[in-house]
Amino acid sequence: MFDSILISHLAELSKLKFTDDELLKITENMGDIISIMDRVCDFDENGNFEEKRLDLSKNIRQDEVKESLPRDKALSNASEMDGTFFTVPKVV
Amino acid sequence: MLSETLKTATLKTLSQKLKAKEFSATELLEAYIKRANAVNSKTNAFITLCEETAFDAAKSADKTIAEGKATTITGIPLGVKDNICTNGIKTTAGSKMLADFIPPYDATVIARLKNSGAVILGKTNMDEFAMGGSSQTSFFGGVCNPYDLSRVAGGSSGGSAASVAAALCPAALGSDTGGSVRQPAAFCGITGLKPTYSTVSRYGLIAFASSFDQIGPMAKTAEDCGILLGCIAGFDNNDFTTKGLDNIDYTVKIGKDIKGLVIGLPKEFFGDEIDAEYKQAVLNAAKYYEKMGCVIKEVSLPSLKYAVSAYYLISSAEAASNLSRYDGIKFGYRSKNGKTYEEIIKNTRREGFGDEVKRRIMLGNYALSSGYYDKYYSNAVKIRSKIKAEYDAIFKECDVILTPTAPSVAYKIGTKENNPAQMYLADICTVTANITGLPAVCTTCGYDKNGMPISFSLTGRAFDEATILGAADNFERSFERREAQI
Repeated sequence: MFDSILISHLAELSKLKFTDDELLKITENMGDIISIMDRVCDFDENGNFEEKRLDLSKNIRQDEVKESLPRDKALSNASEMDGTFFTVPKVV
Repeated sequence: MLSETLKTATLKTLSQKLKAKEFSATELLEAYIKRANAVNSKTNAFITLCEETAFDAAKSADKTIAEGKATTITGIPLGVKDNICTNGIKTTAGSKMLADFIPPYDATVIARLKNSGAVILGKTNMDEFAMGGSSQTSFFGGVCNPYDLSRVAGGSSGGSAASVAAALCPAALGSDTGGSVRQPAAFCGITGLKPTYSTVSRYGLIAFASSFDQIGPMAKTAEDCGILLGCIAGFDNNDFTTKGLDNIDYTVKIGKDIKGLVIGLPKEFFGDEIDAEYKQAVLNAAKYYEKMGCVIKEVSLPSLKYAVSAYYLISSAEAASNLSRYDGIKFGYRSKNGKTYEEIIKNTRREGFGDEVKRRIMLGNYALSSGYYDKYYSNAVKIRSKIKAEYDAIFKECDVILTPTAPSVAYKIGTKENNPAQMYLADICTVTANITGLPAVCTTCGYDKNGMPISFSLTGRAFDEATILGAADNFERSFERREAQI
Protein backbone atom coordinates (compact mmCIF):
# COMPACT_ATOMS: atom_id res chain seq x y z
CA MET A 1 0.00 0.00 0.00
CA PHE A 2 1.26 3.47 -0.87
CA ASP A 3 1.42 5.28 2.45
CA SER A 4 3.50 8.01 4.07
CA ILE A 5 5.95 5.45 5.53
CA LEU A 6 6.72 4.07 2.10
CA ILE A 7 6.93 7.58 0.60
CA SER A 8 9.36 8.65 3.32
CA HIS A 9 11.51 5.59 2.64
CA LEU A 10 11.52 6.35 -1.09
CA ALA A 11 12.33 9.99 -0.41
CA GLU A 12 15.36 8.87 1.59
CA LEU A 13 16.50 6.56 -1.25
CA SER A 14 15.99 9.42 -3.72
CA LYS A 15 17.77 11.99 -1.52
CA LEU A 16 14.71 14.22 -1.66
CA LYS A 17 12.96 16.21 1.05
CA PHE A 18 9.27 17.11 1.24
CA THR A 19 7.12 19.27 3.50
CA ASP A 20 4.07 17.60 5.09
CA ASP A 21 1.77 19.13 2.44
CA GLU A 22 4.07 17.99 -0.35
CA LEU A 23 4.14 14.50 1.16
CA LEU A 24 0.36 14.34 1.05
CA LYS A 25 0.27 15.49 -2.56
CA ILE A 26 2.97 13.15 -3.76
CA THR A 27 1.44 10.20 -1.89
CA GLU A 28 -1.80 10.80 -3.80
CA ASN A 29 0.01 11.21 -7.15
CA MET A 30 2.12 8.12 -6.60
CA GLY A 31 -0.93 6.08 -5.64
CA ASP A 32 -2.56 6.91 -9.01
CA ILE A 33 0.66 6.17 -10.87
CA ILE A 34 1.27 2.84 -9.13
CA SER A 35 -2.25 1.69 -9.98
CA ILE A 36 -1.19 1.95 -13.65
CA MET A 37 2.17 0.30 -12.98
CA ASP A 38 0.34 -2.60 -11.31
CA ARG A 39 -0.68 -3.77 -14.81
CA VAL A 40 2.73 -5.42 -15.15
CA CYS A 41 1.78 -7.73 -12.28
CA ASP A 42 -0.84 -9.33 -14.57
CA PHE A 43 1.90 -10.38 -16.99
CA ASP A 44 2.04 -14.14 -16.89
CA GLU A 45 3.48 -15.71 -19.96
CA ASN A 46 5.10 -19.06 -20.59
CA GLY A 47 8.31 -18.70 -22.42
CA ASN A 48 11.71 -17.28 -21.86
CA PHE A 49 11.34 -13.54 -21.71
CA GLU A 50 14.40 -12.77 -19.65
CA GLU A 51 16.24 -9.73 -20.91
CA LYS A 52 18.63 -10.56 -23.71
CA ARG A 53 21.68 -8.54 -22.90
CA LEU A 54 23.59 -7.08 -25.84
CA ASP A 55 27.12 -8.34 -26.33
CA LEU A 56 29.00 -5.06 -26.46
CA SER A 57 32.39 -6.56 -25.57
CA LYS A 58 33.72 -5.89 -29.09
CA ASN A 59 32.87 -2.18 -28.73
CA ILE A 60 35.07 -1.54 -25.72
CA ARG A 61 37.91 0.82 -26.61
CA GLN A 62 41.57 0.23 -25.79
CA ASP A 63 42.63 1.25 -22.31
CA GLU A 64 44.93 4.07 -23.39
CA VAL A 65 46.05 6.97 -21.24
CA LYS A 66 44.73 10.21 -22.69
CA GLU A 67 44.33 13.79 -21.56
CA SER A 68 41.27 14.29 -19.40
CA LEU A 69 39.28 17.44 -18.68
CA PRO A 70 41.65 20.21 -17.47
CA ARG A 71 41.17 21.13 -13.81
CA ASP A 72 39.99 24.67 -14.49
CA LYS A 73 37.26 23.41 -16.86
CA ALA A 74 36.25 20.69 -14.40
CA LEU A 75 35.82 23.33 -11.68
CA SER A 76 34.21 25.95 -13.92
CA ASN A 77 30.62 25.01 -13.10
CA ALA A 78 31.08 24.45 -9.37
CA SER A 79 29.17 26.73 -6.98
CA GLU A 80 31.86 26.39 -4.34
CA MET A 81 35.49 25.57 -4.91
CA ASP A 82 38.88 26.81 -3.81
CA GLY A 83 40.57 26.81 -7.19
CA THR A 84 41.87 23.30 -6.73
CA PHE A 85 39.06 21.27 -5.17
CA PHE A 86 35.28 21.30 -4.86
CA THR A 87 34.44 22.39 -1.34
CA VAL A 88 31.76 20.76 0.83
CA PRO A 89 30.73 20.84 4.51
CA LYS A 90 32.93 18.70 6.73
CA VAL A 91 32.06 15.04 6.25
CA VAL A 92 34.11 13.41 9.01
CA MET B 1 11.97 38.45 -49.96
CA LEU B 2 14.12 36.18 -47.84
CA SER B 3 11.86 36.61 -44.82
CA GLU B 4 8.91 35.25 -46.85
CA THR B 5 11.03 32.34 -48.11
CA LEU B 6 11.63 31.23 -44.53
CA LYS B 7 7.99 30.42 -43.87
CA THR B 8 7.87 27.54 -46.34
CA ALA B 9 11.58 26.78 -46.65
CA THR B 10 12.94 23.30 -46.14
CA LEU B 11 16.50 22.39 -45.26
CA LYS B 12 17.00 20.97 -48.75
CA THR B 13 15.68 24.02 -50.65
CA LEU B 14 17.72 26.39 -48.50
CA SER B 15 20.83 24.30 -49.12
CA GLN B 16 20.24 24.47 -52.87
CA LYS B 17 19.72 28.23 -52.73
CA LEU B 18 22.87 28.74 -50.65
CA LYS B 19 24.92 26.77 -53.17
CA ALA B 20 23.31 28.75 -56.01
CA LYS B 21 24.31 31.90 -54.10
CA GLU B 22 20.78 33.32 -54.05
CA PHE B 23 21.74 34.59 -50.61
CA SER B 24 24.63 34.04 -48.21
CA ALA B 25 24.66 31.96 -45.03
CA THR B 26 25.09 35.21 -43.10
CA GLU B 27 22.05 36.76 -44.76
CA LEU B 28 20.04 33.61 -44.10
CA LEU B 29 21.04 33.64 -40.44
CA GLU B 30 20.17 37.34 -40.13
CA ALA B 31 16.69 36.60 -41.46
CA TYR B 32 16.15 33.73 -38.99
CA ILE B 33 17.50 35.75 -36.05
CA LYS B 34 15.18 38.64 -36.96
CA ARG B 35 12.21 36.27 -37.13
CA ALA B 36 13.21 34.48 -33.88
CA ASN B 37 13.51 37.80 -32.03
CA ALA B 38 10.07 38.85 -33.30
CA VAL B 39 8.22 35.56 -32.74
CA ASN B 40 9.95 33.66 -29.94
CA SER B 41 8.13 35.53 -27.16
CA LYS B 42 4.86 34.08 -28.51
CA THR B 43 5.97 30.44 -28.54
CA ASN B 44 8.89 30.44 -26.06
CA ALA B 45 10.52 27.86 -28.35
CA PHE B 46 14.09 28.98 -27.62
CA ILE B 47 15.71 29.24 -24.18
CA THR B 48 18.95 30.64 -25.65
CA LEU B 49 19.67 32.28 -29.01
CA CYS B 50 23.35 31.90 -29.86
CA GLU B 51 23.72 34.97 -32.07
CA GLU B 52 27.46 35.59 -31.68
CA THR B 53 28.67 32.03 -32.23
CA ALA B 54 26.06 31.52 -34.95
CA PHE B 55 27.37 34.48 -36.94
CA ASP B 56 30.94 33.14 -36.64
CA ALA B 57 29.72 29.80 -37.98
CA ALA B 58 27.76 31.50 -40.80
CA LYS B 59 30.82 33.48 -41.92
CA SER B 60 32.87 30.29 -41.94
CA ALA B 61 30.10 28.55 -43.91
CA ASP B 62 30.14 31.34 -46.51
CA LYS B 63 33.86 30.73 -47.04
CA THR B 64 33.27 26.99 -47.42
CA ILE B 65 30.45 27.57 -49.91
CA ALA B 66 32.63 30.00 -51.92
CA GLU B 67 35.35 27.34 -52.06
CA GLY B 68 32.85 24.83 -53.44
CA LYS B 69 33.25 22.48 -50.45
CA ALA B 70 29.79 22.81 -48.93
CA THR B 71 27.84 19.83 -47.56
CA THR B 72 24.04 19.72 -47.62
CA ILE B 73 23.87 21.36 -44.21
CA THR B 74 26.65 23.93 -44.57
CA GLY B 75 25.25 27.31 -43.59
CA ILE B 76 21.91 25.89 -42.39
CA PRO B 77 20.70 27.34 -39.04
CA LEU B 78 19.48 24.63 -36.66
CA GLY B 79 17.74 24.48 -33.32
CA VAL B 80 19.20 22.12 -30.71
CA LYS B 81 17.22 20.74 -27.79
CA ASP B 82 18.65 22.10 -24.57
CA ASN B 83 19.63 18.69 -23.21
CA ILE B 84 22.40 18.37 -25.81
CA CYS B 85 25.71 19.78 -24.57
CA THR B 86 27.18 22.69 -26.50
CA ASN B 87 30.67 23.81 -25.52
CA GLY B 88 30.60 27.27 -23.99
CA ILE B 89 26.84 27.66 -24.47
CA LYS B 90 24.42 27.29 -21.57
CA THR B 91 22.73 23.85 -21.54
CA THR B 92 19.91 23.71 -19.03
CA ALA B 93 17.81 20.59 -19.72
CA GLY B 94 14.87 22.92 -18.96
CA SER B 95 15.75 22.73 -15.27
CA LYS B 96 16.66 25.08 -12.40
CA MET B 97 19.24 22.40 -11.53
CA LEU B 98 21.25 23.31 -14.65
CA ALA B 99 20.03 26.87 -15.20
CA ASP B 100 23.59 28.24 -15.32
CA PHE B 101 25.43 25.14 -16.51
CA ILE B 102 27.90 25.78 -19.33
CA PRO B 103 29.29 22.50 -20.71
CA PRO B 104 33.06 22.33 -21.26
CA TYR B 105 32.61 20.08 -24.29
CA ASP B 106 30.39 19.48 -27.32
CA ALA B 107 28.11 16.48 -27.63
CA THR B 108 29.23 14.22 -30.47
CA VAL B 109 26.23 15.24 -32.59
CA ILE B 110 27.21 18.91 -32.16
CA ALA B 111 30.81 18.21 -33.17
CA ARG B 112 29.51 16.42 -36.28
CA LEU B 113 27.16 19.30 -37.15
CA LYS B 114 29.96 21.84 -36.74
CA ASN B 115 32.31 19.74 -38.92
CA SER B 116 29.63 19.75 -41.62
CA GLY B 117 29.32 23.54 -41.45
CA ALA B 118 25.90 23.76 -39.82
CA VAL B 119 25.03 26.86 -37.81
CA ILE B 120 23.71 26.33 -34.25
CA LEU B 121 21.04 29.02 -34.02
CA GLY B 122 19.81 28.36 -30.51
CA LYS B 123 18.95 25.95 -27.69
CA THR B 124 15.34 24.93 -27.62
CA ASN B 125 12.96 24.67 -24.70
CA MET B 126 11.80 21.36 -23.31
CA ASP B 127 10.16 19.51 -20.45
CA GLU B 128 12.54 19.39 -17.50
CA PHE B 129 15.15 16.64 -18.00
CA ALA B 130 13.06 15.43 -20.95
CA MET B 131 10.40 14.10 -18.58
CA GLY B 132 7.03 15.07 -19.97
CA GLY B 133 4.73 15.23 -22.95
CA SER B 134 3.74 18.89 -22.98
CA SER B 135 6.87 21.07 -22.62
CA GLN B 136 5.04 22.82 -19.77
CA THR B 137 7.34 21.59 -16.98
CA SER B 138 10.31 23.70 -18.12
CA PHE B 139 11.83 26.00 -15.49
CA PHE B 140 11.93 28.60 -18.29
CA GLY B 141 8.18 28.59 -18.95
CA GLY B 142 6.08 26.42 -21.21
CA VAL B 143 6.15 26.23 -25.00
CA CYS B 144 3.07 27.32 -26.97
CA ASN B 145 1.91 25.60 -30.13
CA PRO B 146 2.40 27.77 -33.24
CA TYR B 147 -0.90 26.47 -34.67
CA ASP B 148 -2.78 27.71 -31.60
CA LEU B 149 -0.86 29.55 -28.91
CA SER B 150 -3.39 28.47 -26.25
CA ARG B 151 -2.37 24.83 -26.78
CA VAL B 152 0.66 22.80 -25.77
CA ALA B 153 3.47 22.12 -28.23
CA GLY B 154 3.84 18.58 -26.92
CA GLY B 155 6.99 17.24 -25.34
CA SER B 156 9.52 16.85 -24.31
CA SER B 157 11.09 18.32 -27.50
CA GLY B 158 8.35 20.95 -27.72
CA GLY B 159 10.73 23.83 -28.30
CA SER B 160 12.40 22.08 -31.25
CA ALA B 161 9.00 21.21 -32.73
CA ALA B 162 7.62 24.72 -32.26
CA SER B 163 10.78 26.35 -33.65
CA VAL B 164 10.44 24.40 -36.92
CA ALA B 165 6.66 24.84 -37.13
CA ALA B 166 6.99 28.59 -36.54
CA ALA B 167 9.78 28.79 -39.17
CA LEU B 168 12.34 29.99 -36.64
CA CYS B 169 14.72 27.42 -38.13
CA PRO B 170 14.29 24.87 -40.95
CA ALA B 171 15.19 21.89 -38.77
CA ALA B 172 16.13 21.00 -35.23
CA LEU B 173 17.42 18.19 -33.06
CA GLY B 174 15.26 16.66 -30.39
CA SER B 175 15.65 13.63 -28.17
CA ASP B 176 13.22 10.72 -27.87
CA THR B 177 13.00 8.42 -24.85
CA GLY B 178 9.29 7.56 -24.93
CA GLY B 179 8.03 9.65 -27.85
CA SER B 180 9.60 13.02 -27.18
CA VAL B 181 10.53 13.72 -30.81
CA ARG B 182 7.45 12.19 -32.41
CA GLN B 183 4.65 13.46 -30.17
CA PRO B 184 5.65 17.16 -30.31
CA ALA B 185 6.29 16.79 -34.05
CA ALA B 186 2.72 15.46 -34.33
CA PHE B 187 1.27 18.25 -32.19
CA CYS B 188 3.13 20.91 -34.19
CA GLY B 189 2.43 19.51 -37.64
CA ILE B 190 5.98 18.62 -38.69
CA THR B 191 8.00 15.45 -39.34
CA GLY B 192 10.06 13.81 -36.62
CA LEU B 193 12.22 10.70 -36.54
CA LYS B 194 13.40 8.52 -33.67
CA PRO B 195 16.32 6.54 -35.11
CA THR B 196 17.07 2.93 -34.22
CA TYR B 197 18.67 2.79 -30.78
CA SER B 198 22.48 2.95 -31.22
CA THR B 199 22.37 4.85 -34.51
CA VAL B 200 23.21 8.21 -32.96
CA SER B 201 25.74 8.77 -30.19
CA ARG B 202 24.36 9.73 -26.78
CA TYR B 203 27.68 11.26 -25.70
CA GLY B 204 26.83 14.75 -24.54
CA LEU B 205 23.09 14.06 -24.34
CA ILE B 206 22.01 14.73 -20.76
CA ALA B 207 20.91 11.24 -19.76
CA PHE B 208 17.35 10.37 -18.87
CA ALA B 209 16.93 6.63 -19.57
CA SER B 210 20.07 5.28 -21.15
CA SER B 211 18.57 2.20 -22.81
CA PHE B 212 15.86 4.31 -24.51
CA ASP B 213 17.36 7.76 -25.25
CA GLN B 214 18.05 8.66 -28.89
CA ILE B 215 18.66 12.03 -30.51
CA GLY B 216 16.49 12.52 -33.59
CA PRO B 217 15.91 15.09 -36.36
CA MET B 218 12.79 17.26 -36.61
CA ALA B 219 11.98 19.12 -39.81
CA LYS B 220 9.18 19.88 -42.28
CA THR B 221 9.85 16.84 -44.45
CA ALA B 222 11.00 13.25 -44.20
CA GLU B 223 13.76 14.06 -46.69
CA ASP B 224 15.13 16.80 -44.43
CA CYS B 225 15.06 14.36 -41.49
CA GLY B 226 17.06 11.89 -43.58
CA ILE B 227 19.62 14.55 -44.52
CA LEU B 228 20.09 15.60 -40.90
CA LEU B 229 20.27 12.01 -39.65
CA GLY B 230 23.03 11.29 -42.15
CA CYS B 231 25.05 14.09 -40.60
CA ILE B 232 24.69 13.04 -36.94
CA ALA B 233 24.64 9.22 -37.14
CA GLY B 234 27.62 6.94 -36.78
CA PHE B 235 29.98 5.07 -34.51
CA ASP B 236 31.42 6.99 -31.59
CA ASN B 237 34.25 5.85 -29.31
CA ASN B 238 32.60 7.80 -26.51
CA ASP B 239 29.36 5.81 -26.71
CA PHE B 240 30.01 2.11 -26.86
CA THR B 241 26.38 1.34 -27.70
CA THR B 242 26.73 2.96 -31.13
CA LYS B 243 26.90 0.80 -34.23
CA GLY B 244 29.42 1.51 -36.98
CA LEU B 245 26.90 3.08 -39.33
CA ASP B 246 28.86 5.98 -40.80
CA ASN B 247 28.26 7.50 -44.22
CA ILE B 248 24.81 5.99 -44.71
CA ASP B 249 22.52 7.81 -47.14
CA TYR B 250 19.18 7.80 -45.33
CA THR B 251 17.54 9.57 -48.30
CA VAL B 252 18.20 6.67 -50.68
CA LYS B 253 14.48 5.79 -50.91
CA ILE B 254 13.19 9.37 -51.10
CA GLY B 255 11.13 9.83 -54.25
CA LYS B 256 11.12 6.11 -54.97
CA ASP B 257 8.12 3.93 -55.77
CA ILE B 258 6.59 2.18 -52.76
CA LYS B 259 4.39 -0.27 -54.66
CA GLY B 260 4.32 -3.65 -52.94
CA LEU B 261 5.32 -2.30 -49.52
CA VAL B 262 3.50 -4.35 -46.86
CA ILE B 263 2.08 -2.11 -44.13
CA GLY B 264 0.82 -3.61 -40.87
CA LEU B 265 -1.98 -1.98 -38.86
CA PRO B 266 -1.91 -3.36 -35.29
CA LYS B 267 -5.53 -3.43 -34.13
CA GLU B 268 -4.60 -2.61 -30.54
CA PHE B 269 -3.41 0.86 -31.65
CA PHE B 270 -6.85 1.77 -32.99
CA GLY B 271 -8.96 1.29 -29.86
CA ASP B 272 -11.29 3.64 -27.97
CA GLU B 273 -8.45 5.60 -26.37
CA ILE B 274 -7.75 7.17 -29.79
CA ASP B 275 -9.95 10.15 -30.65
CA ALA B 276 -12.42 9.19 -33.44
CA GLU B 277 -11.50 12.08 -35.79
CA TYR B 278 -7.80 11.34 -35.26
CA LYS B 279 -8.25 7.63 -35.95
CA GLN B 280 -10.15 8.33 -39.17
CA ALA B 281 -7.42 10.61 -40.52
CA VAL B 282 -4.80 7.93 -39.82
CA LEU B 283 -6.95 5.24 -41.48
CA ASN B 284 -7.33 7.57 -44.48
CA ALA B 285 -3.54 7.62 -44.70
CA ALA B 286 -3.61 3.81 -44.83
CA LYS B 287 -6.13 4.02 -47.68
CA TYR B 288 -3.77 6.39 -49.53
CA TYR B 289 -0.98 3.84 -49.25
CA GLU B 290 -3.30 1.13 -50.54
CA LYS B 291 -4.08 3.30 -53.60
CA MET B 292 -0.33 3.64 -54.17
CA GLY B 293 -0.07 -0.15 -54.46
CA CYS B 294 0.92 -1.04 -50.90
CA VAL B 295 -0.55 -4.06 -49.16
CA ILE B 296 -2.38 -3.26 -45.93
CA LYS B 297 -2.50 -6.05 -43.33
CA GLU B 298 -4.21 -6.15 -39.98
CA VAL B 299 -1.77 -7.43 -37.36
CA SER B 300 -1.82 -7.80 -33.61
CA LEU B 301 0.35 -6.67 -30.70
CA PRO B 302 -1.34 -8.31 -27.70
CA SER B 303 1.23 -7.04 -25.16
CA LEU B 304 0.54 -3.40 -25.96
CA LYS B 305 -1.61 -3.23 -22.82
CA TYR B 306 1.52 -3.57 -20.69
CA ALA B 307 3.68 -1.19 -22.73
CA VAL B 308 3.11 2.10 -20.89
CA SER B 309 3.62 0.50 -17.47
CA ALA B 310 6.76 -1.36 -18.56
CA TYR B 311 8.15 1.79 -20.17
CA TYR B 312 7.59 3.97 -17.10
CA LEU B 313 9.03 1.41 -14.70
CA ILE B 314 12.22 0.84 -16.71
CA SER B 315 12.75 4.46 -17.76
CA SER B 316 12.13 5.79 -14.25
CA ALA B 317 14.50 3.20 -12.76
CA GLU B 318 17.22 4.33 -15.18
CA ALA B 319 16.38 7.99 -14.55
CA ALA B 320 16.63 7.52 -10.77
CA SER B 321 20.16 6.28 -11.31
CA ASN B 322 21.12 8.88 -13.93
CA LEU B 323 19.80 11.82 -11.93
CA SER B 324 21.61 10.82 -8.75
CA ARG B 325 24.58 12.81 -10.08
CA TYR B 326 22.73 16.08 -9.42
CA ASP B 327 23.87 16.88 -5.93
CA GLY B 328 25.12 20.45 -6.35
CA ILE B 329 28.72 19.53 -5.51
CA LYS B 330 30.59 19.47 -8.82
CA PHE B 331 28.23 21.45 -11.08
CA GLY B 332 24.71 22.76 -11.24
CA TYR B 333 22.51 24.42 -8.65
CA ARG B 334 23.60 24.15 -5.03
CA SER B 335 21.28 25.03 -2.17
CA LYS B 336 22.38 27.62 0.37
CA ASN B 337 20.38 25.74 3.04
CA GLY B 338 21.95 22.99 5.07
CA LYS B 339 24.87 22.55 7.44
CA THR B 340 25.87 18.96 6.62
CA TYR B 341 26.88 17.32 3.36
CA GLU B 342 23.69 15.26 3.37
CA GLU B 343 21.48 18.30 4.02
CA ILE B 344 23.09 20.26 1.19
CA ILE B 345 22.43 17.40 -1.23
CA LYS B 346 18.81 16.88 -0.17
CA ASN B 347 18.02 20.61 -0.20
CA THR B 348 19.72 21.02 -3.56
CA ARG B 349 17.57 18.29 -5.08
CA ARG B 350 14.46 19.57 -3.31
CA GLU B 351 14.94 23.10 -4.62
CA GLY B 352 16.53 22.25 -7.99
CA PHE B 353 14.12 19.64 -9.36
CA GLY B 354 10.51 20.17 -10.42
CA ASP B 355 7.59 17.97 -9.34
CA GLU B 356 7.53 15.64 -12.34
CA VAL B 357 11.25 14.88 -12.06
CA LYS B 358 10.80 14.09 -8.37
CA ARG B 359 7.88 11.76 -9.13
CA ARG B 360 9.91 9.83 -11.71
CA ILE B 361 12.89 9.47 -9.39
CA MET B 362 10.60 8.19 -6.64
CA LEU B 363 8.89 5.78 -9.05
CA GLY B 364 12.24 4.51 -10.27
CA ASN B 365 13.52 3.85 -6.77
CA TYR B 366 10.22 2.17 -5.90
CA ALA B 367 10.58 -0.19 -8.88
CA LEU B 368 14.13 -1.08 -7.90
CA SER B 369 13.77 -1.31 -4.15
CA SER B 370 13.79 -4.42 -2.02
CA GLY B 371 10.39 -6.09 -1.94
CA TYR B 372 9.22 -4.47 -5.18
CA TYR B 373 12.00 -5.27 -7.68
CA ASP B 374 10.66 -8.67 -8.79
CA LYS B 375 7.06 -7.53 -8.98
CA TYR B 376 7.75 -4.37 -10.97
CA TYR B 377 11.17 -3.93 -12.58
CA SER B 378 11.82 -7.60 -13.30
CA ASN B 379 8.36 -8.05 -14.85
CA ALA B 380 8.80 -4.87 -16.89
CA VAL B 381 12.03 -6.24 -18.37
CA LYS B 382 10.28 -9.49 -19.32
CA ILE B 383 7.46 -7.51 -20.94
CA ARG B 384 10.09 -5.60 -22.91
CA SER B 385 11.42 -8.89 -24.33
CA LYS B 386 7.87 -10.07 -25.12
CA ILE B 387 7.00 -6.85 -26.97
CA LYS B 388 10.25 -7.16 -28.98
CA ALA B 389 9.28 -10.73 -29.89
CA GLU B 390 5.81 -9.61 -31.03
CA TYR B 391 7.31 -6.88 -33.24
CA ASP B 392 9.79 -9.40 -34.69
CA ALA B 393 6.86 -11.67 -35.60
CA ILE B 394 5.02 -8.78 -37.31
CA PHE B 395 8.12 -7.84 -39.31
CA LYS B 396 8.26 -11.38 -40.74
CA GLU B 397 5.08 -10.45 -42.67
CA CYS B 398 5.29 -6.64 -42.92
CA ASP B 399 7.83 -4.02 -43.97
CA VAL B 400 6.50 -1.16 -41.85
CA ILE B 401 3.83 -0.65 -39.20
CA LEU B 402 1.39 2.28 -39.35
CA THR B 403 -0.16 3.72 -36.18
CA PRO B 404 -1.51 7.02 -34.84
CA THR B 405 1.28 9.14 -33.31
CA ALA B 406 -0.88 10.35 -30.41
CA PRO B 407 -4.37 9.66 -29.04
CA SER B 408 -5.48 13.23 -29.80
CA VAL B 409 -4.38 16.56 -31.19
CA ALA B 410 -2.58 19.13 -29.03
CA TYR B 411 -4.77 20.08 -26.08
CA LYS B 412 -5.34 23.40 -24.32
CA ILE B 413 -2.61 24.43 -21.87
CA GLY B 414 -3.64 23.66 -18.29
CA THR B 415 -6.22 20.97 -19.10
CA LYS B 416 -4.25 17.73 -18.83
CA GLU B 417 -0.70 18.30 -17.61
CA ASN B 418 -1.72 18.37 -13.94
CA ASN B 419 -2.83 14.75 -13.99
CA PRO B 420 0.43 12.78 -14.21
CA ALA B 421 -1.17 9.33 -14.45
CA GLN B 422 -3.38 10.40 -17.38
CA MET B 423 -0.40 12.00 -19.10
CA TYR B 424 1.53 8.73 -18.87
CA LEU B 425 -1.32 6.78 -20.50
CA ALA B 426 -1.26 9.19 -23.46
CA ASP B 427 2.16 7.79 -24.44
CA ILE B 428 0.58 4.53 -25.60
CA CYS B 429 1.22 5.29 -29.28
CA THR B 430 4.92 6.02 -28.99
CA VAL B 431 6.61 4.01 -26.21
CA THR B 432 6.91 0.67 -28.02
CA ALA B 433 9.43 2.10 -30.51
CA ASN B 434 11.66 2.98 -27.55
CA ILE B 435 11.02 -0.32 -25.75
CA THR B 436 12.08 -2.23 -28.87
CA GLY B 437 14.73 0.23 -30.08
CA LEU B 438 13.11 0.31 -33.53
CA PRO B 439 13.08 3.40 -35.78
CA ALA B 440 9.87 5.40 -36.13
CA VAL B 441 8.98 8.49 -38.17
CA CYS B 442 5.83 10.58 -37.89
CA THR B 443 4.31 13.02 -40.35
CA THR B 444 1.12 15.08 -40.64
CA CYS B 445 -1.86 13.44 -42.33
CA GLY B 446 -4.72 15.80 -41.53
CA TYR B 447 -6.14 18.64 -39.47
CA ASP B 448 -9.03 18.46 -37.02
CA LYS B 449 -12.08 20.74 -37.02
CA ASN B 450 -10.02 23.38 -35.17
CA GLY B 451 -7.15 23.18 -37.63
CA MET B 452 -4.86 21.24 -35.28
CA PRO B 453 -2.47 18.74 -36.90
CA ILE B 454 -3.14 14.99 -36.92
CA SER B 455 -0.20 12.64 -37.46
CA PHE B 456 0.59 9.02 -38.24
CA SER B 457 3.76 7.08 -37.48
CA LEU B 458 5.62 4.46 -39.44
CA THR B 459 7.76 2.03 -37.45
CA GLY B 460 10.35 0.02 -39.34
CA ARG B 461 12.80 -2.80 -38.88
CA ALA B 462 15.99 -2.04 -37.01
CA PHE B 463 18.31 0.22 -39.04
CA ASP B 464 15.75 0.50 -41.87
CA GLU B 465 15.22 4.26 -41.53
CA ALA B 466 15.49 4.57 -45.31
CA THR B 467 12.26 2.57 -45.87
CA ILE B 468 10.14 4.47 -43.35
CA LEU B 469 11.50 7.82 -44.53
CA GLY B 470 10.80 6.84 -48.14
CA ALA B 471 7.23 5.86 -47.29
CA ALA B 472 6.63 9.03 -45.25
CA ASP B 473 8.08 11.13 -48.10
CA ASN B 474 5.73 9.46 -50.58
CA PHE B 475 2.72 10.51 -48.48
CA GLU B 476 4.07 14.04 -47.96
CA ARG B 477 4.38 14.63 -51.72
CA SER B 478 0.62 14.20 -52.12
CA PHE B 479 -0.43 15.84 -48.88
CA GLU B 480 -1.23 19.54 -48.70
CA ARG B 481 0.51 20.64 -45.54
CA ARG B 482 -0.70 23.86 -43.87
CA GLU B 483 1.83 26.24 -42.33
CA ALA B 484 1.22 27.67 -38.87
CA GLN B 485 0.02 31.25 -39.22
CA ILE B 486 2.33 32.93 -36.76
